[in-house]
Amino acid sequence: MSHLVREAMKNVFGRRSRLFPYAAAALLSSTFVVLALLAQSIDFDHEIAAAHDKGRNIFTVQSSSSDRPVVITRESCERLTGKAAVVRAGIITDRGRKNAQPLGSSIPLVAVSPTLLPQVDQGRAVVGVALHPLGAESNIVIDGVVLRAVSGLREPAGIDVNSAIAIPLGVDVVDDPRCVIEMKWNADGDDLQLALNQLHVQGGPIIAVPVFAETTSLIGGFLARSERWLPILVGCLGGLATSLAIRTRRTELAAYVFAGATRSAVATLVSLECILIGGVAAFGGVLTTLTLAPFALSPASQMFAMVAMGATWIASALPVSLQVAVVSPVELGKRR
Amino acid sequence: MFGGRVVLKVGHATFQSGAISGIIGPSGSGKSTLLSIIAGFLQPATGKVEYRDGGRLGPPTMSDISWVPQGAYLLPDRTVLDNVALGALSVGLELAVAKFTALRALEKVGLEDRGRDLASNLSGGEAQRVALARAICAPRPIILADEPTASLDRKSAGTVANILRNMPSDRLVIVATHDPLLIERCDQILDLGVS
Repeated sequence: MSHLVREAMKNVFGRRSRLFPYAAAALLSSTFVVLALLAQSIDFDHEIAAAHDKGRNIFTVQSSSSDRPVVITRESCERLTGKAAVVRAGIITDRGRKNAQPLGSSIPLVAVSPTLLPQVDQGRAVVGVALHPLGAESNIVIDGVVLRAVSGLREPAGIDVNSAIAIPLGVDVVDDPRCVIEMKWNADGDDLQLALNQLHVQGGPIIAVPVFAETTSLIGGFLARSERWLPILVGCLGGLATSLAIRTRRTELAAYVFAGATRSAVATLVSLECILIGGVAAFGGVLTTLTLAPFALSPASQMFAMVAMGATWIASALPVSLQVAVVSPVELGKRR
Repeated sequence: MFGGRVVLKVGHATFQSGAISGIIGPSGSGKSTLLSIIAGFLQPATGKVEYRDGGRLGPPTMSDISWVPQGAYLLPDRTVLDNVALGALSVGLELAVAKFTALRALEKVGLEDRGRDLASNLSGGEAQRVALARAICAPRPIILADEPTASLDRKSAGTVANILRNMPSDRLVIVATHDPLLIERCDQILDLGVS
């Protein structure tokens, strides 16, 4: 057996061997597939980011009916922050329009939970990104009151502070008719329901209104994309190409038979060659994935896909290749 | 039988170890077919092949046979030594032992200085001698050679014929040939043109 392994290694990795280009092609194919999957991941990331800016997975929890008002406790709303599938949650209340120097007059003022907008923590005001930008932390004056203020970051729709000045929600606010929740990008309806169940609500039934409603599910579309079959397709094509290459080596396989190798030894040799080439595809794919892991959406699932590609490569190559091994040595020798 | 047609009919023939037996006959008379039947590569429609080795009597197996095909059949991208060593490796010898045995076999066929060359660089005659070296370096009791001198010049053919002639006495050598040089060295002749 060990000499068959050695022979298979030489037949696949020998620089002058007929199978070497196929081993090289397996390596290149796996790199190509990883890069293609990575490009899809990056596109998907961009789609998710764009949808996030529009308010994807941000919900305003409120009464389901205007004639049946609700009160949601602030503590239960803010406490959702960081819980499973919730990025952040809190209350935003409108405080009207104010004169704010040196920013200008009639600027919207909102009070926000620090859990929803961490920049307002430590009593600072946050100047929305769409307003006049501040340099470093500086003072602003609102209705004669001096506040330390910082420039805000761009927030997605639903957390409407980009064109306003946000101040911390006062300790006197203990409840509100609305709670804003941002769920994780991959959260689903069950996750949202779980979060809603943890809110302490008085009054009529509540509803979570999405800020941005997806017409088609981005995640569903990504998971159902036909390109996800690329590793399997490449594995099939690579395996078939490998099997054809092995079949063209009839005279070489005949050399083994005439050197005394049994049919089972030739079958083992051919199988080992298929496994080595498929293994190169899988190993190359896993290695490239590990190298580019920081850019991959899910390195683990991508590595699994690469192993599946290698396995498909081997499974596609073996049946046709093994037919060579069961051919009579006389026939093997005849067909050059 | 092939396609319902009788392509070879042989009565009874016995081949002895320690002797070189020749199967001769015109082209198409079935020399190679008979060798394939003896090797077990083809099954006869009737009759059987039996091999007596000490107390054992039965059809020869692949592990009994070294085959010298018509047309060398070498691995072109490997060295001559690697090709010859395949014969020894196929009987389970360790790599180092197999290479040593292969070197000895190459000496016998006069190609000891070509061991490191690629098989693809050999002439037809040299390739045929390498195939013979590959066969004799495997310690198998039966050597079947199909036209082993067909593509050789007279000098090389003489060398090959002498090697086959001088095989150890425990080896059974059967050659299919129409080369007079080889025929005259045979101890026993089965003429398919007559039978």
